[in-house]
Amino acid sequence: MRARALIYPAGDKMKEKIGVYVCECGPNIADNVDIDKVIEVISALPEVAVVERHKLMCSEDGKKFLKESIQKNELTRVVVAACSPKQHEATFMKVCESAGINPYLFQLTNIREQCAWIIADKAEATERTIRYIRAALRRVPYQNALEKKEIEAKPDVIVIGGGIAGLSASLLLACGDRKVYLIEKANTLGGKVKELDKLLPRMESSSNIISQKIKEVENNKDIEVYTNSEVTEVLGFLGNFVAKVKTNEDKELELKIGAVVVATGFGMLDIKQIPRYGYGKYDNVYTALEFEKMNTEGKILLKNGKSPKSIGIIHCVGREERGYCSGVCCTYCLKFANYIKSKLPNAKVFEFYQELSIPGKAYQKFYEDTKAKGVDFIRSQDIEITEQKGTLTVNYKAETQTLEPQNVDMIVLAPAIEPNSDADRIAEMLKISQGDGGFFQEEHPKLAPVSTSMEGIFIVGCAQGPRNIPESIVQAQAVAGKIFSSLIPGKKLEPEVKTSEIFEALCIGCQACLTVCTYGAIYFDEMKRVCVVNEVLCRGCGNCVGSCLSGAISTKHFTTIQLHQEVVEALR
Amino acid sequence: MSKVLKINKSAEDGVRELLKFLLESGKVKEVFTLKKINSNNVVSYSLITRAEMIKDAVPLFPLMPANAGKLLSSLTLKNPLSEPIAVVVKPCELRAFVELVKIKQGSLENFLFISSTCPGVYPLDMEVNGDLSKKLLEYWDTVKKGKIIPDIRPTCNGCEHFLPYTADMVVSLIGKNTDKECEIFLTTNKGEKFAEGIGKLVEGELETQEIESLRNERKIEKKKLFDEIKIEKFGLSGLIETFGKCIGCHGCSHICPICYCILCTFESCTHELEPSAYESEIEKKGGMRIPPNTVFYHIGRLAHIGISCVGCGMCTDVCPVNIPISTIFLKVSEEVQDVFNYIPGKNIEEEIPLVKYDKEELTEVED
Repeated sequence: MRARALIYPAGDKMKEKIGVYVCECGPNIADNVDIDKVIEVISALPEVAVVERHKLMCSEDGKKFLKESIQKNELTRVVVAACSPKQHEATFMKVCESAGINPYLFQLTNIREQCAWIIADKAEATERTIRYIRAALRRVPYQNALEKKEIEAKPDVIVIGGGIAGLSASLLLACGDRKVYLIEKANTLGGKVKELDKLLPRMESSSNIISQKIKEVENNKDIEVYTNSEVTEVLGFLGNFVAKVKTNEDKELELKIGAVVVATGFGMLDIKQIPRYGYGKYDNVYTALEFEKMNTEGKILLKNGKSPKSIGIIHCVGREERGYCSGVCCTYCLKFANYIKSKLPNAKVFEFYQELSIPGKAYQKFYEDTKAKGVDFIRSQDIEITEQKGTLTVNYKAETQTLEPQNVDMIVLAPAIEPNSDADRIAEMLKISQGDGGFFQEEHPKLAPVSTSMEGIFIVGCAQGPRNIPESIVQAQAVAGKIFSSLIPGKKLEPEVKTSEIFEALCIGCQACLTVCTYGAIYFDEMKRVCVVNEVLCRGCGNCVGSCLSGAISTKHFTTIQLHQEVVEALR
Repeated sequence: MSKVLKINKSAEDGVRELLKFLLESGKVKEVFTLKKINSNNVVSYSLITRAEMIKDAVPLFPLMPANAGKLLSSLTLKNPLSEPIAVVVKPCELRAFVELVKIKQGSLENFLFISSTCPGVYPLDMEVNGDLSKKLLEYWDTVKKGKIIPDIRPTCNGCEHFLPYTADMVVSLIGKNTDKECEIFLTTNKGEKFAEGIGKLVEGELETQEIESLRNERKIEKKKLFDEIKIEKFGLSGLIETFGKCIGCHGCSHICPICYCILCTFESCTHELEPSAYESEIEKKGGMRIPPNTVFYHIGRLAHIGISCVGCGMCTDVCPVNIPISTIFLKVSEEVQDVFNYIPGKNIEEEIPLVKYDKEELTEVED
């Protein structure tokens, strides 16, 4: 019943020649760790062939020293005691490779962040350093040589959504050796920006700017535009996606691409859901986009064809209901006041806001200029619109106190920005998650704001959360940068080496691992009744290892035996 | 209330008549039941296809030569059954099978489950000794009285789950006149459908006063069982004392219906020590038990499958050195199962807590 070879091939651990290299990191380690003592203790261990120290191992001189010492001593395994693997693991792996030793037969142990910097007492820090080096020494003979692989990658990109973010990303990405497929659900490009009259804060014409972008896209021979079209399926992984697109002629297109940019934009909250604003019930209550349209057409008019003498602009419509601030409404409401003041200089304008959100270097001045034109800003809550004989009344409270209601002829509502109505379908299709408010979830809100948990799928603009135009363009540029650096035309991709592997003989086929893999990297082989890892997709997170009921899964370079040996020695 | 099929024969004859009917009418292709394999009360689980062979079937025989849950799993591991099979199993065997199906180690498709209000089974060595035959009269007599049967498996003594949870038909035994009357409760629509045409049905209630009082009696018995062992006071020395007898045959794991691993980690060399480890152990303690890892093996198994343990008692039964494994398992498993409010094998829809991811769970141990 003993299946020895199945678990791990037992090598002759005694034959390994292990070298230990202690870095002083200038004064960083040397000042608080007694390196002489460390070397004395470690050299006495039977499994150690050589122990050396260096002032700064990551320097050119240090790397050269390390390489030569590995070669001179004909080492088979290497332990470097230095800084955090985040900082220099890759550096020393390269040195090992150049010295002719597989980089996965090397172990970096962190004696700077985990000893020298955090333990005040030098003797204690020294003792801890010795302990960590011993743990690495115990682990390293159990490490296996791992080989890098290369796969072909397609540089082409599919952009879903032809609004300002999608257009900007497409223009940046398209170049001689990279094609962009721009897929737009509507019959024209331009998205919501096309519906705006003027843009803040310089009040230039929106249509000029967007039409110019659309023209550039349409004239770019490396961008294929499909309007009235929908992406229906995306399978694969970074560098090797296959997407299906249903085009306006009801044809199905199959596109081979390397990355997906999701620029599906936003929708607006349906204000009819909140009856107290009177939208759809009273005449002359408009949404922000309806008001933009009125301005684009040239005149601000009431239903009866007269000009309004007073207009109330209401911010924060649906903010509480949706649970977030949409960020862009305050500034465009200032813009609306300017629309009104330029067309109807004598009209009274009231801005009802809960909190004013006008950050940024240009907007404070814009706010003050707008205020100076005679616009009243009223901090208010619990707004309710009523109507009597054609006059609209804004009833509101301020600081829990009910104030005199304000009568106006016209009301403009600024509703919350919501994810596009397609967001759920797209999230499911791309296997990306949705976060706060139902917007697509970024990989990390600060450090990886345009990536998703699926490598090669990016999110830009309002698809990711409420954004204004410059922010959306910045994100489009960020995505272009990510794609430029990861999908270089003609260059192959190196998938993760430290992937999970499933021992077929131990797998009971319960498929628990499938449910915890967020990368879609595991499938079930019906014939063999076992689960199988797709090594190209796997990123070695180890979720599946933890979920496996029968202990059939391990992650390369983090096997149970390796971790066990390391921990046992660290705690001994 | 459910439909009841009444047959004026002894319980076992009644069940045989039902099985025969199912085979002859073509409603099932095969019958899975205990069957005599010689005249000496040696029984084994068997598949029967020919109606005339039903006469050798002993569907209610008070013995569990193997936990049928494990056998049904191996029947359906690769593919679900293509045609209906009637199986007669004990409630804990059915629960074990349901647990295995939850982790895709079998399929419930095309099974007609027949079980009974279970009086319990005798330990296997009683069959081996030949003592079992002498016990049968006393057994059925005590069943009739609805009392706890002397000398059955200790875990059966303390079992509260003797009413099957997911059977299609339930033979009512406890507190019934089993030598004259056979009452088969049709507890699902499927059960009713398969019984169509066999005879007249009446209405009845499976849960009776006798069952309730036996349940209470068994609760007391279980407490006694736990008190005898006092596992909560074990500590390391108690563990070593209890499992020190273990000869490492791993029979308990091989016979366990829940132990689903293809290769037990304790039978791989993962936990085998290197010479250096032996040396350092000896150096530290001045000596060590060989083979090592005995307590680790039992605790490991407990941690691994405790959540699904149905307390069938197979492990205690096969232990050559009489370690009360199933009592220890039952005690610990019940405590773990209580944490998740989980009864293994009760409901196929309910995922095994250790496999399922719940965002809000065990919040009391957070931070």
